[in-house]
This record gives sequence, C-alpha cells and structure tokens, in this order.
Amino acid sequence: MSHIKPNLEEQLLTHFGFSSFREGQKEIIESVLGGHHTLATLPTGSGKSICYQLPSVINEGLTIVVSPLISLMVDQVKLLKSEGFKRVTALNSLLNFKQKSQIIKNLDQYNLVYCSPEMLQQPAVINRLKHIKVDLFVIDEAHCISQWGHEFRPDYLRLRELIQALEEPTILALSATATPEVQEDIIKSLSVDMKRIIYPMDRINITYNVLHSENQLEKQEQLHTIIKQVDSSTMIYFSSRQMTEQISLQLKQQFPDRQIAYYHGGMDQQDRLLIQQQFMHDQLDIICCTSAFGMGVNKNNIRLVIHYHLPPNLESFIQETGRAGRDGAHCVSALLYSKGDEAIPFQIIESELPEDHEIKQYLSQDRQDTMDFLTETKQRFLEYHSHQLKVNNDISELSIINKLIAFRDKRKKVKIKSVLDMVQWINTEECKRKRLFESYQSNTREAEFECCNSCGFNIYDWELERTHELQSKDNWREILDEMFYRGV
Amino acid sequence: MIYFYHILLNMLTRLAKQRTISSAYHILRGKKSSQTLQDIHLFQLQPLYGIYPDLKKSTYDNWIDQLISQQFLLNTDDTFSLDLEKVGEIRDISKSFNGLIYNNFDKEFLKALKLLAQTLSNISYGQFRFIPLIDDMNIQWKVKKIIRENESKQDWLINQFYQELFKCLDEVDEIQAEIFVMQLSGVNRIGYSRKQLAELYQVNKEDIQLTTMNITHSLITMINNNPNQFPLLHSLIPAHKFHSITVSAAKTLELIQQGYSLEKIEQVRQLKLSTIQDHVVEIANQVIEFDIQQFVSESIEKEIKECLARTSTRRLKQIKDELHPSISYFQIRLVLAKLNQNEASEIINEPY
Repeated sequence: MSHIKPNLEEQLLTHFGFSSFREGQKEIIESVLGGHHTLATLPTGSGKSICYQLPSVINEGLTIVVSPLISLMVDQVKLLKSEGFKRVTALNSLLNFKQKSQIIKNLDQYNLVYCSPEMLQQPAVINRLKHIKVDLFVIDEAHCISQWGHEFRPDYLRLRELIQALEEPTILALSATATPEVQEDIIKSLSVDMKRIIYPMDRINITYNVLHSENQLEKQEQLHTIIKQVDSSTMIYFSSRQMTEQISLQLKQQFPDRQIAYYHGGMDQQDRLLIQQQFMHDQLDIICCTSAFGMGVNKNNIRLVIHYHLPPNLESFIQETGRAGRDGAHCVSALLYSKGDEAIPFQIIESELPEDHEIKQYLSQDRQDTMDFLTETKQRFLEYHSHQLKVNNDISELSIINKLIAFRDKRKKVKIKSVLDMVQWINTEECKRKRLFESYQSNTREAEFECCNSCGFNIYDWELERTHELQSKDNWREILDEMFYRGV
Repeated sequence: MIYFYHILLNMLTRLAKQRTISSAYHILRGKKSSQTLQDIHLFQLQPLYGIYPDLKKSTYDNWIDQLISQQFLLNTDDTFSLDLEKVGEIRDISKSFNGLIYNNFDKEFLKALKLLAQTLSNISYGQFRFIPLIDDMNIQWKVKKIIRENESKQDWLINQFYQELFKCLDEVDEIQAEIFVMQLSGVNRIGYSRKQLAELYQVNKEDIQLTTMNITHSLITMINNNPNQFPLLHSLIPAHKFHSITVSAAKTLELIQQGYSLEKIEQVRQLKLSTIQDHVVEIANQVIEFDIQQFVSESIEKEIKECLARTSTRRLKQIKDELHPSISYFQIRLVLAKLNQNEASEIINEPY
C-alpha cells in the first residue's frame, strides 16, 4: 500500500482542508482502498465519516452509506454540500415520489449516497444498484445489526442479501460502540471475513461524575449549583420533550445573563435549524435537549454535558458524553441520579415493544389495513420478524404468535439488562472510567486531567469562567453594518 | 408591534353572528376554499387573508378559550357573539397588510431575502462555505442564480443589497425594523427564532409572526411601487403570482375565455358542476375585469341587489329564502362577489 500513502494526505488536504489524519482514519481508509472488508470502531467524535468520505472521492464507483438516523444523514449531506461536494445525496423517507425517482434514475452520477435501510429493501433501488458499480458499501452504526446491541434494527439483517446481489463490494462496518460480543455478531451476520481495526473507546479528557439525590428538588438544586459555577458551553440531556422546556425556562429565570434554549424533535424544522446553529456559533451557552440533538453537531468547545435523566444504556451515555471536549481540552460529564429514575427508561422499553394483543391484532390484519394502532418501532419489529417466520411456509398462526412473543421477550430482556447495567454503573464506588469502558477494552488509559468522582474529583470544586463574548449589538443599523462588513 | 389579540378581535367583530368561530382561523391560514375566499370579500378581510399560514388549531383555540373565559365571547352551535362593551375599544391595526394579493409569494420573498442576506454577509467576509439556514431547494437555486449572474461584481452586489435593505427598513417603525433584522442570519450571527424574539420583547409568538408579516408586506409594497430604487429586492418578487386564484380555477378561467359553457367544462375537466361554479365565484371575486353577465342577467342582478339592501344579513340561506325560487345560490354568490369587489377596492387599504 505504500505507494498511495503520500497521495492520501494530499487528497485529504485538497478535498477536506485537513493537513493530517486523526487517529485511526488512515489505517481504515488504506484497508478499504486495498479491498479488505473492514470492521472498525472509533470513539465518538473522532471523525468516522472521513473514513468513507475520502474513499468515495478517490474511488471511481459509488459509495453507499447505510445509516439508521435520518437527521444525521440530512446533516451530513448539508455539511458536505457546504464544503463544495456536489455528488452527494440521501435516499430516505423524507423525499416525495418524484424526488426519489429522480435520484434513483441518476444514481450513477453520485460519488456518495446515504441511504436508510428501508430504502435498500425497495425493488426499484435494488434493481438500479445492480447496474451500477458499487465500490464501497458502508454500514454506519453497525452495532444495529446485532441482537445484543442496544439499538437492534431488524432491517439491518437483510443487508447481507443485498450485498451479495451487488457482487460483493468492499464492506466497511463502522461503530463507535461495539463490544467484542457485538463485533462477533456483526461479522457473523455479514458472513464475510473482516479485518478488525479496533481503537480504544475511552476519552482521556473527560471527567466522569455521578451525583445522587433523594428527590427532584434536590436534583434541581444540584443542577443550579453546577450551572452557577460553570459558565461555559453546556448540554443538558433529558428523556422527555416537556422537561427540556420546563428546565430551560427555570434556568432562564435563575440565570438571566446566560443564553439558554431548548431543542427537541417536536419543534418545527426552521426553529431546530436556528437553535442548532446558534449553539454552534456560541450564541447559546446552554442547550436543554433530548437525544434528537447533536447527531450532526460537531462543536469543539463543549465543556460540560449533564444528564438530567438516566440514558437507556451505557452506549448512549458514552455517545452523548462524547460530544464534550472534541478540542482535546478538559471537560466534565455529570449524571444526576435520583432514586427511582430508572422507572422512565423502563416505561420507554414497554412502549417500544408490542404487547401480546398487539401482536395478535397485527397478524389478523390485512396487508392494506392501516397500522395506526402501532408505533413505528413496534411496526418495524413486527414487520421484520413475521416476514422471517412466514418464509417457512408450514407454520401455523399460533406458533407465529408464540415465536413473536418469544422474540419480543428476548429483546425486552436485553433492554432491561442495559438499564440495569446503567444503574449498576451509577452505584459503583469503583473507578467510573474503568467500569464504563471495561466491556470494550481490557486496559483503560489514565485520565489526562481528572478521572472521576470515585477517584476524588469533586464537581463542586470545579469552576469555569466564560471565555467568549456574547454579541451585544441590538441596534438594527449596527447589526446590518456588521453583517455586511460596513464601517467595521 | 402588531398584536394578534387586536387582529383577532377585529376579525371577530366583523364575523360575529354571521359565521362560525373557525372562519377567522381559516382566513388567517389562507385556506383556499370557496367559502373562505368568499368570506374575506363579504367581510372586507382581504388584507388579513393568509397572513398566518402555519397557525396551529390548538393555538387559535387557546385564544378563543381565553376570550370565552373573560366572557367577551359566547360560542353557539353555528355562530358566536361578542360582547362589545366588555371588549372595549378595538384598536386600529396597521394598514400595511395586503394578504389577499401577497399571500402567494410573501413567504417565498422573505425566505429568499433571508438566504440572500446570509449568503452576501458570508461573502463580504470572504467566507464561501456555510450552512444555509433556508432548506427550500427552489429558494437556494434562486439565490445561487443571483450570485452567479453577478459573479464579476460581487462588491457591487453586496453594497446594493445592503443599501436597498437599509433604505426599506428606514421607512418602517424602528421596533419593526429591529424585529426584522434580529431574524436575519449572517457570518457572525444566527437569527433569532420567533419564539426567542417573543421572550425578548415579552410578547406572544403570534405577535412576532404578525409583526414580521406586516413588515414583509410593507417592504413588498415599497419595493413594488419603486422598482427602480430597489432593483435587487424587486427581483426577489415573483411577478406572475399576483392573481390569487387557485391553479384549478385558473384553468377554468382559461376555458371560459375560450368560450366553453360550464357544462362543457364539466365534461372536459371531469369535475363536478358545483366545483366549476366554485371556481367561477372565486374568479369573480378576484379578477376585477371578469364579467358575470353571462351567468346573471341584469334584471336578476338588480333583484338580488335590492334584496341585499333590504336585509342586512350576509347569510346565503336567508337571502335565498327572500328571493324568487328560480334564482340560484350560484347567482347570488356571483352578485355578492362583484358587489364586494367594488366595495373592497375602496376599502382595501383603509384602516379598520
């Protein structure tokens, strides 16, 4: 491979404006350009996407990226276009029929196509792809393929068939959170030999803290104390939309000189875009958000990530805290836990998986009937599993029901265990950092700054002063002058 | 500042005892039904048509519930009444609104202006890469085209945009100009959302929406009256969208002008006769030069007009009952449409 090495750095500079690779990127890129099926893990925020974006401009053929997160797709395409990439698009359910047909027709014109797994099941897409040279097939968030993963997506299991139909392009499976068990599962599901490139997950510049409280009031006091001491770019995660609004309002009253906003999936598109960009531009100090925020956010200087509610699993927690300190400087994660907080993720699990009677109702419906009584996640679950079962012809309705119930119970078990693992981590008095990463890597590196509250860090001793100036102009004439570089 | 409360009461006083409580909602949203289009002419609410296209039903209902709980308003089965004494004096609202004429393109104009501002601001600082805050592809193409056409004279373009925008905003109220500019995004700042501005000025989100729309209409009027002074901003106004009839009605109009009868149009277009008649009423409402003589004879028109003068009601059923059974609803609606057009052309920009 040595002959392409100098070339790669040049390409990186020309296309992306970076003068050097970050850890792991080059090794992964060389592997896939060399035609090796590759399974790679890189920690959140380390630039996973470059690993296929650069090959997509070097390769002649098409690069397909399967991603389960539509908002992430949209953000990525937007970002790439803003950087001057023209031959990139996304195929997903946000498009109308005409837009979709247009893209499918011109599929060979693109370098890089992001695709939702559902789209890749559509015959029109599959048939078109068969006539196009696909060089690289990327499976983003590859842990979704594993039934042991925290975010199992049944439709990911069908990717293998598709890849075989495409005359086996090079596969790149990427994840930020894949335990060795999940890694095995990914390779098994794809049934190909894969080169593993595994980078440590731990982030040495993050200090981990868990703060216990007896009740919500005490929790809010803790929040108040921390915010008062740390006047810097902060994210606060919640599990409910309503709470993002409520606490954001409360903080605004308590800290009138800070810029605070909330963000969740229920807001209209224009407002979401504005709030996201305000945060990126340091116009906001604090953002109260649900997990809907942050997918495509690449902000360097987030100093504090607070979890007001318990995340549903350690993987989500690692991803969300991983948004802090991308500049490498010190940053802190604080999880606020009140006894009984686990009730919320347990409730969410119940609402995500179908009940017995819903399974029966689903099976008794006609294909054309609406499935309005089911949430999207429930539908997806039932669609895939009943399809798989019906492939075996001689199977009675009753045994389908029983098998579906068994599948559901298995998923439920996995999810409940994830929550219990989370609670166990919260309650451990051992080093938080070691415990957080022990299922991913045998050795956790030393913290670069402070380690965790088990190792003696006290968040109440931590203070940060504001480093950036918030804009203060509010005379419209001055604003316009500054905007268009007049009289500045 | 334009207050939603004032606008709403203004509308409701006109519609009270004549229409249902949701008629004002449909007018604000700019519903393209023949009922709503007719209502705005009947009650001279043309300026307010479509000035709040994304108004949520739940938001509207909240306002109504408040009026009810203050005992200003009494909702009955098919209409409602207002207690004018309790409501007190209803304030004048700005005359800048021109909803019926502008609602087809005002949002598009505003988006294009915002994206052009963001783009030129970035260019003026030598930044050519940024995330556009307007997602609409058509708007993005439009702005790109302007930038491309002026590639060789970028400095001129930036300066021209700045000068035109400055001149326009200088003409409106200070607070309005401020609210408008706070929503713009550029290289060094991202605009405020309506919700954030509402908090900042301690008003309702609805007030910010209406105020923004009001300034937008002021700007469009100003630009349209002096296209030579505002060549760049004028190019953001799509010229062909001034007639506010639906696409389908436009097709019907084309066939009428070619001499087709309504029955023939019914066949050609495979639509119900009642739908075609709705189109004709819509056209009569909107197109001043449209002659209704081919559908209503002069004597019938006179009869209907006399009846209208006699009874003060605007409810079709009551009017119909007063007239000879051979006179159809369709004919009454056409006469009403023309009548209102004459009144409207005098009243359209008068303060309420």
